[in-house]
Amino acid sequence: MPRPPHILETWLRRLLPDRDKESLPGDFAEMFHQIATTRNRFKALLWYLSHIFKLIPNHFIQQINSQWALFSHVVMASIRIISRQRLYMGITIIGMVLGLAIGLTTIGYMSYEASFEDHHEHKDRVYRINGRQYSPDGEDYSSQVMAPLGPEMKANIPGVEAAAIFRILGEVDLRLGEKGFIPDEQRHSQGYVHNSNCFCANTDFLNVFTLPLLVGDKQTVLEKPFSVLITESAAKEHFGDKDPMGQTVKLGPDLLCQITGILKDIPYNTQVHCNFIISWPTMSRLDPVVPTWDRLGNVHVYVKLKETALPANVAESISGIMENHLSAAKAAQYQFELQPLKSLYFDTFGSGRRGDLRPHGEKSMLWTLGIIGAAILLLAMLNFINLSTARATDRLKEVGLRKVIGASKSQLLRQFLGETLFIMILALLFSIIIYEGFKFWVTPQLERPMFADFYNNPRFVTGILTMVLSVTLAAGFYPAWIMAHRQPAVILQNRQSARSSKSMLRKSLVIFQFVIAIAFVGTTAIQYNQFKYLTSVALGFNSENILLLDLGEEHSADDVQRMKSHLQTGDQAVSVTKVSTPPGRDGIPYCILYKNAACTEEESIVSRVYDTDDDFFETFDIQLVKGRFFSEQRQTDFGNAILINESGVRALGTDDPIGMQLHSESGKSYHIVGVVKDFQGTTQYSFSSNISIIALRPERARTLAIQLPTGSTGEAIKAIKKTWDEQLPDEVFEYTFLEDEIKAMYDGLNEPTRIMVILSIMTMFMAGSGILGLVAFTARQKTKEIGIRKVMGASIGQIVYLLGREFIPLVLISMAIAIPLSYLGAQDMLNDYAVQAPINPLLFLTVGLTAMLIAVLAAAIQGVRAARANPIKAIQCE
Amino acid sequence: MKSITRKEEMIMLAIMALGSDAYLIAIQQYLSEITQKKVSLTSVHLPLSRLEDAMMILGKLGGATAVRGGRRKKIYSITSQGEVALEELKRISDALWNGAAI
Repeated sequence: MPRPPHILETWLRRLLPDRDKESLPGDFAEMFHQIATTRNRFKALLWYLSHIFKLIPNHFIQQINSQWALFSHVVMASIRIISRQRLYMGITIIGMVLGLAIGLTTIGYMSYEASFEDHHEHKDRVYRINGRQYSPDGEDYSSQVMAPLGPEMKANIPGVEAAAIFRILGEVDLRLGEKGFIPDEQRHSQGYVHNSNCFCANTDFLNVFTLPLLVGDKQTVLEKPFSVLITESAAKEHFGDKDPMGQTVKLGPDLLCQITGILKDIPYNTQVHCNFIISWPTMSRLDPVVPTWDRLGNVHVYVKLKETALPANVAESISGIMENHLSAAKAAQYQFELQPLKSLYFDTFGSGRRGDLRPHGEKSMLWTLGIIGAAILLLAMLNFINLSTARATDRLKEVGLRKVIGASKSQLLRQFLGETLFIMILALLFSIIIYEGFKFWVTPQLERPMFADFYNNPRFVTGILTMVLSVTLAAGFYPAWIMAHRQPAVILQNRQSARSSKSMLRKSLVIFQFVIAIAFVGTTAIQYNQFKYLTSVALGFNSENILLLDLGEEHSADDVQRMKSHLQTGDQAVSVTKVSTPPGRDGIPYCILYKNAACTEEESIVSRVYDTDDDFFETFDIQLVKGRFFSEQRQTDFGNAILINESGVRALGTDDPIGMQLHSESGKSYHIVGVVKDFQGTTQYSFSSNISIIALRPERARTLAIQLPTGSTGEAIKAIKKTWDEQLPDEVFEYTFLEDEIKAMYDGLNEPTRIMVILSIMTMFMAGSGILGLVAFTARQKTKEIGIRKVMGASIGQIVYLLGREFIPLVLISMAIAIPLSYLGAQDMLNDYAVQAPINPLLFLTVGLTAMLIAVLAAAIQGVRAARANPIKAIQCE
Repeated sequence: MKSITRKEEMIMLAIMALGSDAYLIAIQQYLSEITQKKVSLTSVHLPLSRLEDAMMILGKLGGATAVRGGRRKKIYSITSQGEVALEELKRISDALWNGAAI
């Protein structure tokens, strides 16, 4: 017998007024049965649902009608209290606004990170094919595979609905007429890490990923060679008001492509963010490499499976395809896996895979920010609890009177919770303004958006609501409960019982706040100190006037050598060296070398490696301490001779390292021929030692570092550009200055410090306002005492001291807890740096004194108020 | 006394006609048979609640059936106050009709 779904019935009952709760669901069920039997179940369901919806407005009108009195009362009471206790409420609300703003920013950041790939309609069915090849030459693990695999999978595996294949064309030069499509400044901007602008993809790309077309049919736009899709904003930028459809675009030096469609702008929270898509058949003209099954290729393959298909089965079926094209032995070398689209962004393992797409999210960063956000929110909550319990004494009469005229505990609880909610909503509005302002200010400075918008991120909205409601309950419940459970008789008799347990609670809250605040400020101070130290410490190498040309992996070692010798001939360069990564650039590779041939771990040293030629020392002005530099004149030096710096010598634990052998795990051995002075190649990251090794392996170097003559930089650059254009006519001339890169690296370090400074000011503010609340509470308790003391001739200073003295031990206790904590935290943090600033104990003392000062100041603000009150009023009885 | 609309009058008359089986769905079906028009459940339920508030009719929980998922019916009956109101209406309308017929 057809019955309406249980859940709908429950909903219906919830919406109905009491008197209809029994009969109407029955009537509805009967009606449902009737429609279901005479017509069909679906119609019945529709009928049922539509009637539920009709009841919703009715329900809310009833609710508001019955709760309106309480609701309007709470709002009125809240407004009155805010206007009566401006100082208190001001501090409470500002504290909450700050806490919520931080919470909002954290949730905004986290929801944005979590929203990656969310807008793809079939995201749950889309997988990337990762390949693994075990061959005698070694293992290749790659997120790119051979191009023909995509179409073959679609044709041969029944579970595959669509297969996108694409490549990112990082090096393609798109031109509109003579004007470069990608502006030159943008090419130069370092750290432009987002996926390159231009993809080359097949038709299924638009079927697998949800990328709506504004103009054009998605089944045909990418079919023909020399077709290109352009996004709406890119079209606007390059064509203005002209209709971009059918316009010609130059691809590289001579390929002419036609715009066949316009894409809606692709959001940033996807790894397939691009501005141009070139049709796949064009690929054969761009990169005429015959597709082979013989090795994992360099094409991304993403498949959309049918709803019923299992990824594991599909992965297995790929082996069948491989066997069709390769011998059994060869096919067995390969393994494939299907990686879900949603998991790609947070896949930290990605770096171990060749050709992984960027950007990647960092879960650890999410955790760190989440914890900081939660800690500050917690502080704000404690502050709120502290201030409102202290304030509660002011409202005892009100509570007593309400109880006498018959308010129940639950009514009072609801009233006070309602007030908290009112304050929270007020604070939320302000914090939303702060968040939006922050986003507006910070987004242009970032490489890509990092914070969620309200209108398109349901996670964000749910997150905010959860935060506000849980904070309301967590912060509001305790004070509300305290107030609601007072005995009316005791209150009205004016016997204010100051139970010590509650003031203990308040005191421990203050200690907790100060511990967090001092630890925060201490850590920030050390971080700042470290930063100052880094910028002040001598680099130990010459970075002035050094111009860098990056030639990239696609150039052979001969190309680089040819370029170098051409640059050396003129007077455009004082000296030129080839280097794998110049000192001062981020991400210098490191290696592990062993003192013994057996490669045991105890005998290992971790070191940065510079693969270079013998001009390295002159260009970067590196000083020799002992032994000799290697030389390209000596054939035996190649791939064998290395120089080590003084830190390295210390790590080796020997006085005379010259002639020592160091071994690598692959069985190679290197020979130390000299020792150089220490230099700071990089600021931080992964390992703390400052050991550097310089090896004569020029064939691995793809970057040219050119020392320009002083005073004629501009001319020298022109001359270098001329050489470049002669040698590499197809490529755009790009260069950077080493000094700029070093500065950018330090700026990158400075950024977190600035955020930390803001956060620590906030924690101090909250700790201070906690004290303020406590002083107010004691002042209220000691009103009569203060009055009598004043009458007897006590000065304002003495009274402030009377009120403030109990907080000095609290701050001292907090210091005793927080300083060791922040010392340990700081050491942990400093371990990331290659050069560590010494930790000055004075620093902690300063931080402690600042905290003390803030406590005293907070006590004084409130104390002076109490002390200046008219003593007559205080000692007057009734 | 509150005035009674035409719809309310029809519903009260339907309750009288249906006797001991006068619950929401029966009333709705009776009315749609008589008027030869579709009558929606809400358009019956709303006047019923109003009449109940005005004490013209009285709702009592009656028997349940399996079709109703074990929920009881609310059987309506006319109160004496309702009867008075109906008689008054009938008198007025008869008088008006008589006047119109002559």
